[in-house]
Amino acid sequence: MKSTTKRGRPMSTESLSRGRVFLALCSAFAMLVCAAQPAATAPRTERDALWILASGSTAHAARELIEGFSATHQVPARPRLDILLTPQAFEAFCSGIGGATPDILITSRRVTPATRDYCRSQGVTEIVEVRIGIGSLVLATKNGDPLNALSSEDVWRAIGAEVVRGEEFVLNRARTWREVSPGLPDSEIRLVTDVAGGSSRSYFEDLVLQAGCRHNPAIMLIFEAGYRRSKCVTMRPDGRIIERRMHDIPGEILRAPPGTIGTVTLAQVRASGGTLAALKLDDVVPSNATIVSLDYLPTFNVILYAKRQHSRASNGVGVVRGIREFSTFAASEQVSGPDGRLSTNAGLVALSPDERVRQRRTVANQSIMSR
Amino acid sequence: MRFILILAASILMGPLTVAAQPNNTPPQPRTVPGIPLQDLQSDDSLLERLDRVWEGVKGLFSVTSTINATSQMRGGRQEDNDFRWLMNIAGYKLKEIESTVGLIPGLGLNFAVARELTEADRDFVERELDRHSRLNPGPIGAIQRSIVYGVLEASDMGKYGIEKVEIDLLPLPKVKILMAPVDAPLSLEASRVLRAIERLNSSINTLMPRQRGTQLPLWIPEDAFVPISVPDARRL
Repeated sequence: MKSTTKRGRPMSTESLSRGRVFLALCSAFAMLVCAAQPAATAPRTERDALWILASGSTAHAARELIEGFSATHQVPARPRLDILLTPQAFEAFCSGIGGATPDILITSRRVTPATRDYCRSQGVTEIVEVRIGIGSLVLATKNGDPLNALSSEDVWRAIGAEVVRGEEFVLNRARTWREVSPGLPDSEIRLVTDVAGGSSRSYFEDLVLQAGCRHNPAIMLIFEAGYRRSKCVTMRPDGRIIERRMHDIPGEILRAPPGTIGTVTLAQVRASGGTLAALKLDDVVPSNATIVSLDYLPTFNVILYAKRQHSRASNGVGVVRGIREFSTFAASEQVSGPDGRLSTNAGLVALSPDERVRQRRTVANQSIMSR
Repeated sequence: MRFILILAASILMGPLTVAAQPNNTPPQPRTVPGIPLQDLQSDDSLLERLDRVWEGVKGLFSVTSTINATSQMRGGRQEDNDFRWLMNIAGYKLKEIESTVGLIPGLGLNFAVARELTEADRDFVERELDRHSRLNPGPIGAIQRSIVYGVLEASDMGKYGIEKVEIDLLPLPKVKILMAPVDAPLSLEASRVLRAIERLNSSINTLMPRQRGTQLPLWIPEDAFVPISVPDARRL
C-alpha cells in the first residue's frame, strides 16, 4: 500500500524518511524522560549524615535522640553531633545554607529577633521550630537537712556578691541562712553549682538569681540591662560557692555540711534514690505537674530548630536526607511523650497533651517559624 | 377632689401616727408590715449595661487599682490579670492616665520605658504571657498579650528604641508605639547637660595627675582630726 497525504497525494520517499526520523527522535526523547524519572525522585545529596548542633544543657537529650533515631531508621551514616555554647551554636546554625553548614539545632533558648535577622541575612529563611520537652533546674539538699524551702529572693540575698542596704549596694557578709531570713535554719550558707560557662550555671543565674532580684526596688531602678544583670548574678567570692562539674554536684552535696544547697536536675534528684531532697522554691515543689503548668519557675523549653531548606532538593541536588524524619521522631509520642525516651533517659518533662499535638502538627506540615 | 384630700391626709398622717405610738406598746405581729419595702430597681437598663461594660473595660486594663485580696504577690509574681504588671515586667511603667470628659469621653494610658530587658527578663515575660494565655483565654486577654508581644518585638529592633506606648481605650481602642532612632540628635537642653559633664570630666582628668604618686586621700573627713587636750599635747 502506498502512503498518501491528507489531500490524497502520494508521499515522497524523502518525506517518509523525515517522518521516521521524527518518530525516532520522539521515542528517544520519551526514553530519555523515562530514564531520567528515577533520578528526579531520588536527588543527589551533599552529605550522608545529618549534622546536629546542641548546647551544653541539651547535649544529653540530643545524644538520646541520635541514638534512638539511628536505631530505628535506616541511616546511611550516624548523625554528627557538635556541642557548643548557645550563642556559638546559633551563630553556626545561621551561618548559611548548604552542606558545609549544620542542619538541626537543639537548644534551650528561643531564637531572638536579632538572631532571626542574622539568619535571614545569611540566607537561612526557612526554619521549623519544634518544642520537644521541658527541662528544669532544681535546688537540692541532703535528705534530712532542715533547710527545705527557699524563695528566689532568699537565694539571691544569700549568694549574691552584693546586697541592698537602704538605697545602696554593700558587700554580702551573711554567714548563715537565718541572717538572710529569720525563718530559715541557722546553718552556714554554701552552694555547689556548675562551673562558670556550664549550662546549668547559666540557668541558675538566669532563672534563680535574676528571678530573685528582678522585683527588688533598687534593682528595678537600674535602666541598663547589662549592669542590672551583673548586680543580680555576680556571686560572692568568699569561698561559699563551690564549683563542680554537673555530674559531680550530687556527690558534693552529700559530702557537704548541713545548709549546703546544690543546683541539679529533677532527674538527678530522682536518680539519687532518696539521698537528695528537692527544695521547695517560692512555695512550689518541683514536680512534673508544676513544671508543665509553669508554676515552678526555673524551667526551660528544649527546642529543635531544623532548616527546611536543607530538606528540599533544588535542581536535583539536596543537602541531606532525614531532617524531616528526625524532627518527626523527636516529636513523636514514644520520644517526647510522658513515658518517652526523653523523659525516662534525659530527664525532660513532657509538654501538655495539646501542646504535643500542636508540635506534631508543626512537624507534619513543616510550618516555618513565624515569630 | 375629696378622694385626693383623704389620700394626702393619710399619707401625711401615716408616719405621724406610727411615730406617735408609745414605745411600751406590744410589738405588732410581723404579718402586718408598717412600711412596704420598695421593689428592686431594674439593673438591665441601657445605662446600667453601659456602665458595667465600662467598668469591665477599666478593670481589664487595670486603670484603677484593682489589686484585690487574691492578687497578692506570690514570690514577686502578681496574679496575671493585671495588664500593668505585664507591661511592668516587659520594662514599661505606667506614666500617665489621660481622661477626657466631653460629649465623646476619652481614656488612655501612657507607658514609658523603665528599663532594658536582659535575655532572662525576656524569657520570663514570654513565660508569663504563656501562663496568661492559659489563665485568660478570652478576647481581652488576647488583646493584652498582643500589645505586650508587640512592644517586646518592637523593642528588639536594633536601630530604633521605643520611647512611649500610648494605649487609648476610648472613644476607639488604639495602641500607638512611639519609636525613635537610638542615635537621634540630642535636644538643646540634653546637649548642654552632656557638654557640662564632658567639661567636668576633663577638669577632673587635669586635676588627677597631681594626685598620682601620693597615697593621701583626696578628701580627709573632719572627724579624722581628734581635738587634743593640753595635757595630751604636753605628753606628746
